[in-house]
Amino acid sequence: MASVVSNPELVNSKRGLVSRQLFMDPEIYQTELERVYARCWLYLGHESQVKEHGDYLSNYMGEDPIILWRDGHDRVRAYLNSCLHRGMKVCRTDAGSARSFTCSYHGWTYNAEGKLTGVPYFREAYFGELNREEWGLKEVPRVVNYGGFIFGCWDESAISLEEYLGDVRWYLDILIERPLGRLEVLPGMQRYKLPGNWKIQADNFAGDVYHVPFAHGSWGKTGMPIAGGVTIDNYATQKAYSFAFKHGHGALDMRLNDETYEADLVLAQQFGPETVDYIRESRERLLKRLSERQARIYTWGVGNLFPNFAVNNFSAFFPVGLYLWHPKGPDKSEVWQWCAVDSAAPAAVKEMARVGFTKVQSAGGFFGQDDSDNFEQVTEATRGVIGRRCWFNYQMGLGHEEDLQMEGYPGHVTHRMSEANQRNFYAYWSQLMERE
Amino acid sequence: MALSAKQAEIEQFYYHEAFLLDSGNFHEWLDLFTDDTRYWIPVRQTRDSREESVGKEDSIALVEDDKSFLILRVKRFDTGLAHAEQPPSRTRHFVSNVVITADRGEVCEVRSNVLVFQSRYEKSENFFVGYREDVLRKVGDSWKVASRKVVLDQPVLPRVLSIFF
Ligand code: FES
Ligand SMILES: [Fe+2]
Repeated sequence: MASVVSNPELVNSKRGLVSRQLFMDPEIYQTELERVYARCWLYLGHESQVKEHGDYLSNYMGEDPIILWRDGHDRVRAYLNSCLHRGMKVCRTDAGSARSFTCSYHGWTYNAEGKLTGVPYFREAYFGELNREEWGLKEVPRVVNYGGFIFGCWDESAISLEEYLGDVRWYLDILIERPLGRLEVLPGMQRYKLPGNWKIQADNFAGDVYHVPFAHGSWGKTGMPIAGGVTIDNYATQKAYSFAFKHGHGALDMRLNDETYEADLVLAQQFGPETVDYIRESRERLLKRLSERQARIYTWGVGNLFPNFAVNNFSAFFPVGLYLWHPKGPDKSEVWQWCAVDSAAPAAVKEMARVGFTKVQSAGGFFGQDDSDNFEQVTEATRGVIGRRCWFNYQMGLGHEEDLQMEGYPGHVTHRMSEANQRNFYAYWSQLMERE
Repeated sequence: MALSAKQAEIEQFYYHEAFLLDSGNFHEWLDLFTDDTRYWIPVRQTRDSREESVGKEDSIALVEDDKSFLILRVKRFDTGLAHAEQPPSRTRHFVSNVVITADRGEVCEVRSNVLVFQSRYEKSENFFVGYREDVLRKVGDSWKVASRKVVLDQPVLPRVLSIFF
């Protein structure tokens, strides 16, 4: 039987076309769980969410539930959230603190080192013969903390996290180094179902500058600025750049020449001298810890780290938004999102970021609502036989990828409004999918 | 025991509010809120204790609006560009279990349950279920919402929140 997955025409990078089967076909979906999700470095959580021995949070890697858990030796580890006896979820809560979990089915107990420490009726029923060493929790073999962001990978032969992130680290470092205290994820998370394939969200965050003026037109029409002096009217024409990176990562809305910093200074005046100092010190810190170019970028904009982790930060008055587009089926996903702030920011700045998080890319935010509605209807119109035979068009700026040359900025700079980042995303996706 | 006149009045107030929402009369709905109102939908999680399962003041929220942002949400509908509600969803709000938990004359704390049905495009499968804790204040001769906390029972929302509760 000819497999849909082996069809070389699924992703036609030269023509900027992607088959709609990628967003609907069950076989492609199952294959990508194996070849993308079980092989790539995936975001698991932030170190500030698991500070003490026993702190844990529940998350997913693909469709596999995992526990991110700090052990007794101050190491953050990740395990498949499934009892090795007969599969029950050992952790049934979203977050908390526990030195051990006791399975609610037959009572096997595991500690934070993943060891099976308790088996009911071990002598009487197992005659002491079960090798408990062998039946500890299944551990994610590679878990690495990059500046507080914790990633995990099931594939022991995969390249290192550093190599996987590659040049995108240079930009991520700005978010990691700017806080005068430490980046801290606030309590609570938002989760909502999105009836559409996870890649629709991911490619949007990797590079879709194009949709903002129209899809989010209501934001500007109500008179709200986007951030840092940007409004819906000057959004499209502002001087900013998109960057595509190796391994499918993409970032957009990068303003390189202190534009965001200067807008923050203006806003800071309204808060008073303490906040003005805070903004100045944040930039000075970047200058000390990183390079002048990074200090002048000062923030991050929007970006998607392949496959399904997106980060946004529009200014120091905005939260650092952390988003996971969890796959839940060929035509279903769930958005999980958190909000992080600098622990040393003035209280008013933190509060503005915390409340602001609900207004924009959020379950009830203007951007989140409209994106979700669009992605749901994209999916409905792709379900049918004829719909699936069509392409998604990513031709914007095709052939203009090399127009801009900028010395000293890692990654591949492209026109801001372009679909080069999405083409880069799908080129890497298809490279992974071709590997048996 | 006969229900107090106040209980009946507050129930009627909620039925009127539900009618305004379900008929898309958002401008009149806004008038039911005081200028210093707070409209808060905390997040929900599965935690070991019931207490911890509802987001706190320092947690992120699903929605956390003052009056000016509520007005902005309605203004957004008026732009015609709020794709998530243009064309409008069909909603039906059911308010029940209304209990006055504190009666201080012109100010009452009221707890109620809400069940909200949302039908959008061809789909009719979305329900939001939860309870509300309101502070109602008498302004002139009508009640107004001085603060509302909506606690939804769904930790993973069935869809984004484009409607009011
Ligand atoms: S499934 Fe966990 S103890 Fe049996
Ligand atoms: Fe968007």
